[in-house]
Amino acid sequence: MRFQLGTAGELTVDRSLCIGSGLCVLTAGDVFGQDDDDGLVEVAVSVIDPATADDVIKAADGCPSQALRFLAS
Amino acid sequence: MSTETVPAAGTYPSPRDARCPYEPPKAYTGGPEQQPVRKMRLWNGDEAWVVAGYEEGRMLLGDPRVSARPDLPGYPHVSPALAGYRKSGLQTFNNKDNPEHNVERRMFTKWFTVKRMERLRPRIQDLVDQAVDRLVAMGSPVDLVEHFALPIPSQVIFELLNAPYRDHEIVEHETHTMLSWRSSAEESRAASQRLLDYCYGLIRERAENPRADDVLSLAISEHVTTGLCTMEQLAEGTRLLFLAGHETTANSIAMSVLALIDHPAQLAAFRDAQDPRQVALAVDELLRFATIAQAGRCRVALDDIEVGGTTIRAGEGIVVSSEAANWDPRVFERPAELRLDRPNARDHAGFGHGTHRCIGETLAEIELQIVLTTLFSRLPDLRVAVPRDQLRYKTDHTIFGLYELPVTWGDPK
Repeated sequence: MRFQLGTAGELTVDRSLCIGSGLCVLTAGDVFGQDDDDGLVEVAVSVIDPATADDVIKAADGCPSQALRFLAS
Repeated sequence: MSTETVPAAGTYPSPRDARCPYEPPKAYTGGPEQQPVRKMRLWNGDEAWVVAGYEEGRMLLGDPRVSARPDLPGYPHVSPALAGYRKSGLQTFNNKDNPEHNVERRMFTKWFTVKRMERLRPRIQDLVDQAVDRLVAMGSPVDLVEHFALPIPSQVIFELLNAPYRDHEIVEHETHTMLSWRSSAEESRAASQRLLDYCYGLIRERAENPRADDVLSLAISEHVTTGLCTMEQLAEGTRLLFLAGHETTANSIAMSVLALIDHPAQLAAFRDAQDPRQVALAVDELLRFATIAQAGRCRVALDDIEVGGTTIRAGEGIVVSSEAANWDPRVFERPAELRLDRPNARDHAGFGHGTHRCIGETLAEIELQIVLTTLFSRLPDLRVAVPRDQLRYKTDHTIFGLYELPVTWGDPK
């Protein structure tokens, strides 16, 4: 999955790499959640509000298993 | 850039200095250049790269060219006990690479989500309140490890797995034998097998009598009967949850209590903290300052990797030291100071990094938050009941901590 972060760049989400650490939920809880069925990352919104971009980038940087990646544009 | 002929300097693991039980061994961090990666010698004569640098360790733990498999040549076996059970062929997902690792870990991921762990708060609070009541009833002095730090996380993991707590001594005893560096390879292997047999027993019982909303029952119906995992993999995973679920948190509780007692001004601020985020940050700083993981995260390079001014060759062993990373002054300014409001304490390395990052991290944090706030509000003048040089630290164990922490207090609240 890919999400545009305003003009800052793009977030890619690869659930196959997710280990369910939940760090993204603690960093950007408005954007990320964990699926009740498998505990893996889910993006709670269809469009990411650019106002949350800083937290989303922080969550991507902190993701231990690189399931979240931020690519600056 | 160094070459193949780097001599080993010092022995891994080296003990901490009992005069400052929080500080990582200087053997990993000292030296004229404080190099972040150095070659050290292991007990069996093997050599491995010991990684003390925070960024270097993080980079290696997140690198798919680095393997966690103990059956590969070059993997560093850092103690006879760890060699004993890691070489036994009984492997858990923390000693496997992807994609196998993720398939097995996912038997358990949904049970450790932030949401589920938050829902455990009231129950953990009950357990902690009862534990303090018992301390007060016993009267001081009392050993805080035996009567508080160990039973709370042990009860929590037994409840999480719906296992009968009356079996706790089996699990605690076998875990200790597996992780103690005084155990021989054979003793550790045998303890590991007995703990695995205990887990098999639980799983067989659950296969016959499945329960609703139960970790093991759903692991069986969703992961084993569907063919994703085997009963063996479930038993091994269950063993890991027991093992990592109580020993680590128990030692963190004891060391955090000691660290707070040692820093009265910080303790006063902690007691006054109203904001749960302040408490959470304080717990992160305690996990950083008093790191309990002292066996390092053992890996082997699958390819030549350049890191910290060194080339690690394919087939060479790597030991990433969380304790040294947590005191890396390039990341944590004046690391020897406990600062409960340290802005980047959340970045501590205590739970590891990469695909093997601790599955119980949120649970451990919540347990510590509840334990420390409750203990110091009920027993505000809690103090150590023996001279400091009588405290026995776990310098001979995979998990650092205290064998006993005799404490005393005045009037409880």
